[in-house]
Amino acid sequence: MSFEDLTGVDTCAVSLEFKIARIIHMEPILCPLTSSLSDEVLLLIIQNLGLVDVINLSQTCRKLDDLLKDRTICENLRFDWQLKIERLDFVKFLRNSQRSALITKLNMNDLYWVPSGIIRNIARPLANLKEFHAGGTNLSWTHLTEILTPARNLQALSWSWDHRIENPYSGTEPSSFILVVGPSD
Amino acid sequence: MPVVRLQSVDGEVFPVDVEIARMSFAIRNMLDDLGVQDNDAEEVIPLPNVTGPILRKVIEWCTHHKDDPPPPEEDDTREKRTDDIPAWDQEFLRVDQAVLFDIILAANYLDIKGLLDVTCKTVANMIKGKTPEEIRKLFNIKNDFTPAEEEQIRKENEWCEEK
Repeated sequence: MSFEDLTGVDTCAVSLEFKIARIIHMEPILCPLTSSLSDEVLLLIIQNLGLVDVINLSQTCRKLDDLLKDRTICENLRFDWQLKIERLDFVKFLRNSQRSALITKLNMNDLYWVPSGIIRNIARPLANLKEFHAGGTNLSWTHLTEILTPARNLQALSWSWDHRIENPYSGTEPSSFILVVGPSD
Repeated sequence: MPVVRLQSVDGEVFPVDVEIARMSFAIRNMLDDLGVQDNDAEEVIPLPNVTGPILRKVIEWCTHHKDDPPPPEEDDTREKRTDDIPAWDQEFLRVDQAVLFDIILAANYLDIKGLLDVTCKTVANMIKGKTPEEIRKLFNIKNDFTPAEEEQIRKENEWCEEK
């Protein structure tokens, strides 16, 4: 047997051993989404998603959660009124300080099913909020003022409130009210 | 029709009409930099990031779409539509995930906007409407949030109660 034959045999054995080792250790197959695509390309894909899908995607793993703290995603949040998502998932996504610092536009128009206090809790910590839209929601006057007090950068606001859709928090509120300040969305 | 030769990383050479090859802005720039005239048919363009089978798919897509009008300027503020993928493209992209991702990488590297758009939309459609667990299963994503983190979020749950 020539030297070449021997090396040939050797390589074969090594490669077989390698394959067996892989099988024994059950090497995990990498996630094709996060292991093969660059962040740049992933963001191109994500641009095609609505907010609910973005929130769901952020909860799959740490890498995607971090990627979804990108300015292009968080800057302008528009919730579809048909949004069907667990409150806790909402919270997980918006409570992140990196994200809430990036949010400059928040549109919650027509989210009639979100309680007033939750809208307040979502909007109040947003230090860089420039536009806030909460028309057709349950947001009460009291909670709105709690949002507006720290919002120093606010340039545009729309809010409507109707006595009939929520119990009044105090007797001094108007019974029906529409407020639009600055350029409407 | 003048032809250029595109060479994949594994050495396969594809003769392609210049007009079709120029749908890739990367190739267009290479041809312009090389000063290739339409009659220099022997020029070989090496593409070190694309394998033969993927390059074949990319050329097939470009050939089918060579007469498409240029895409309209998109309004970035709106959520993009993803239900407008032509039937031919849907059929063309009915491939393994790995192949689909390789086509995306090639479209990105070769800078073919139309192909990049339609492949990204295809992946977006795979994600749409799925729960986090369903998305994990689809792409073999490992949940690497620690139990402590999950617990922290559960504690913060009270934050979303009405007060």
